[in-house]
Amino acid sequence: MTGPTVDAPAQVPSSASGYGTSFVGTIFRFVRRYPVGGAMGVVIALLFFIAIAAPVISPYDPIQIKVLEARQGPSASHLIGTDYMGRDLLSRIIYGARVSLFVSVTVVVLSTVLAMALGVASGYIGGRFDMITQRIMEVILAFPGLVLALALLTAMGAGVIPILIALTVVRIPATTRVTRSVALAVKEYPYVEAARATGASHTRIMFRHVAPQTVAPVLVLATASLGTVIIAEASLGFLGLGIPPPTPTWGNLLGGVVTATFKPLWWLVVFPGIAIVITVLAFNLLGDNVRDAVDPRLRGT
Amino acid sequence: MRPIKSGYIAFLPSRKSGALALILTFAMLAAMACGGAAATPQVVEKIVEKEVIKEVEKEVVKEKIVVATAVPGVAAPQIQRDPLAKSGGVIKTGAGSTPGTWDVNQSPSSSVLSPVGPRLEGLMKVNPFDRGLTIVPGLAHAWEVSDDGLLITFHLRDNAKFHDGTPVTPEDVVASWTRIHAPPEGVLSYRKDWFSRIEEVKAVDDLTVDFIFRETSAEILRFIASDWNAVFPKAVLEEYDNDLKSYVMHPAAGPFQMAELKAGEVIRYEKFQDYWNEGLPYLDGIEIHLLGSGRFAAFLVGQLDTLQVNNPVDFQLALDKGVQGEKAIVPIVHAIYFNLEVEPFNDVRVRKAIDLVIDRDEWATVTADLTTPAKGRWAPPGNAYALSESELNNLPAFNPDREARITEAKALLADAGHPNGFEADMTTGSPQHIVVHAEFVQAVLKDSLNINLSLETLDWSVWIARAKEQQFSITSGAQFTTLHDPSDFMNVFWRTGGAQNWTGWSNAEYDAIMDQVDTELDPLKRRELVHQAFDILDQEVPQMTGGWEVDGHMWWPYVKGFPSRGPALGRYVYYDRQTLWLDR
Repeated sequence: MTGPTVDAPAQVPSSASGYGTSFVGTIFRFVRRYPVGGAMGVVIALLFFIAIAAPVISPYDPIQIKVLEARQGPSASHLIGTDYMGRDLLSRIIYGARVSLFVSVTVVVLSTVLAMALGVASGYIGGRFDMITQRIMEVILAFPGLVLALALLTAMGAGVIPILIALTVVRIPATTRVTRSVALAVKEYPYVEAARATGASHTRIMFRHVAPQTVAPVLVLATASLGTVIIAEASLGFLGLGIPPPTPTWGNLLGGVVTATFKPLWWLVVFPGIAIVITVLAFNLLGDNVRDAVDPRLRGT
Repeated sequence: MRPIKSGYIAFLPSRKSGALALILTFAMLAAMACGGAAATPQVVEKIVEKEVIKEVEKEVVKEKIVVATAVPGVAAPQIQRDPLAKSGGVIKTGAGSTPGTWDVNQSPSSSVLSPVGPRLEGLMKVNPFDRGLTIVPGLAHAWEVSDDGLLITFHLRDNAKFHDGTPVTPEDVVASWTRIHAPPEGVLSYRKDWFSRIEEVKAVDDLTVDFIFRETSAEILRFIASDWNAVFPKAVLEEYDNDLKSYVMHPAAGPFQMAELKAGEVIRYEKFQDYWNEGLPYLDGIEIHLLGSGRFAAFLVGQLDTLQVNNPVDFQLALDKGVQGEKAIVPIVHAIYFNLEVEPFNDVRVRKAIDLVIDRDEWATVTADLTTPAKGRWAPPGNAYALSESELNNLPAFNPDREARITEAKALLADAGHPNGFEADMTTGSPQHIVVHAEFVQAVLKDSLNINLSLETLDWSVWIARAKEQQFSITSGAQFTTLHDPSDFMNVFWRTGGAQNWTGWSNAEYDAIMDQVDTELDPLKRRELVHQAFDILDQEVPQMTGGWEVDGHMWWPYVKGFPSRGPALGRYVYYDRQTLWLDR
């Protein structure tokens, strides 16, 4: 028998954020209030466009070697030079955006969804389940993230799927803790008690009434994490445990040969580095502004 | 028995060898004349054209091979002394990390020989100052080889002592050499195959030791003179059950004795005051700083006085800063290995096709930031047995006409049933230049033959373990050994059951020829045999040999007494550093 239910507000009321109800309106108001965040949004959109349109806009095949053109500096034919096998660096950076953005978005989405489910369940159910879950999270947190990812990749081998798994595992505990803390508070709210009193199942309460309250802080965390994951993927590529050759990634463009010598060719260092810096900066600044927008304490009066 | 006092001369494979060989030949003849030698030296000369490496440039020189199997009555050459040398001072050099073992006989790696080397002394040593042409005395002041080559008698000097103060006796030599050629169970001897023809090492009297052989062994004196073959006190070997791996401060009889180890920080040696060669070493001590990848930076800013620098970019950077240095080809080959049991690499046509499309000049170019492998086939270039540039270019795989090679490769692949290419898994060892070679081969095979290889990078130790078990389909890696003699590298790399025969290739005809190579004392006949073995390798192509490693050694100008290395010297010599001195 299912009794009448009392639905809690699914999210922070849109009116409370002050950006109206339509998506376009929300974006417009956000940009007007946070121009830096808006600009970073444009940069990120541009990066995604570059990644998607890589086969069209890339001047050369990124894996085509031309040894006779190896180690050429920036020129009219190769705008930012070639690498040690004569591959066009610009083309490799453009294609590298595909991997870096795909890995970062996939890892953030996967880890956020899993961590939300785990954190909400842990906070709502409590007791032994909460205790065991949190101890497992503490064990994972006890390892430095990159070291844990390295260990997992060593066991699984390099590749796209192992990297997604390794970085997702590393990212889950932090998000789980955030969602758990929200769930612990929300489950005591009167509207949750009312839902329970009307006979709503625990599953319904968790996913209908508690989980939506974690969206705002998790959204902020996820936006900021995109940059972190790009750095992590680049670091793993730099250490030789990233995506295997010949696929170009920003990490393996910066690693390997470039680090093996005391005086590397400057364009092999500078341009992949700029790509990473711009992307991480854009995600971080956007994340900061999103946090400001959704946090009532920072919104001003 | 014909007595010789270390006037043993083997091949002379060096870039200035023409002039040097003539000078040495005349010097020998003059010495014999002055010494009133009774017998006639057996000297054979032959002009051959061959390729050698001079720094990074290649040049073709006329090389004179001088062979003297026995030169009676010649005064023993001694290790070179510099009349201007100043005694004193401590030299600083760098290494990666604390060695995992302190027992050189139980290690294959120069990463152990380098930090342990200053304390070591053998019966004799390869002369570093004539690029390995002659052998100079060590603990033995003279030696004799019997006419049939089955007995070598070593005469020990009476003033040689170990670092613990005890005298070096024939019993110590017997104990040390028995450990090398017939190690007891549980004790490794990485180079025992060099001495597989030794029947027995036995003490004759208080200062004499006999090495008795079952069969003749070509170039055996050079093998015995290797830095690896040090003599240790018998009492110490007995006390430690012949296992010195963990005995950090173990005594030997070399020019320096170990003073201190700070793990992960520094290894300190001090001059051995009772070293048999009076006046040497010049230095008061050696410090080996364990700096990992930071050692080149430390060297560049002057915190270290000398360093091995293999990276050509770093090497040039240091030269530009006024550092002095020299490069030498070492018997380490970079290659692509096929699993001969796995399809399609069990088909020689597929292997030949891959061998054809890999351009050796491009192979060297792609790793020019890391290492510049020297172009060669089955022997290190500059080696007396290696093919000349023109001989190399006559081989199909070295044909300068790239299109002709690719056309032939496509025909071979089609003939093997793969006209549209195929897919396979490829592994690579983790050293960066080996990874780059794998990437290069992956790209070339895709481009030329539509062969798609998925690449997996393995930690170097994992790669070695898998290579030993042939756990790969096709893989990028390396083989590494010690001496520039074919009895070393050609047995280790390609003989049935060879320690680094990664492909598991086995060919009875090749093995039979190598048996002859190992025992043939006539160098010219030996060279012919070696080339017959090359022909078999060319027919079977068990691996795609890309190039041979080049080492760089560097020192600041105030460091004097560094020997000029040559192709015959390689990597694994002159670790005692006894003639170095500081001019500051």
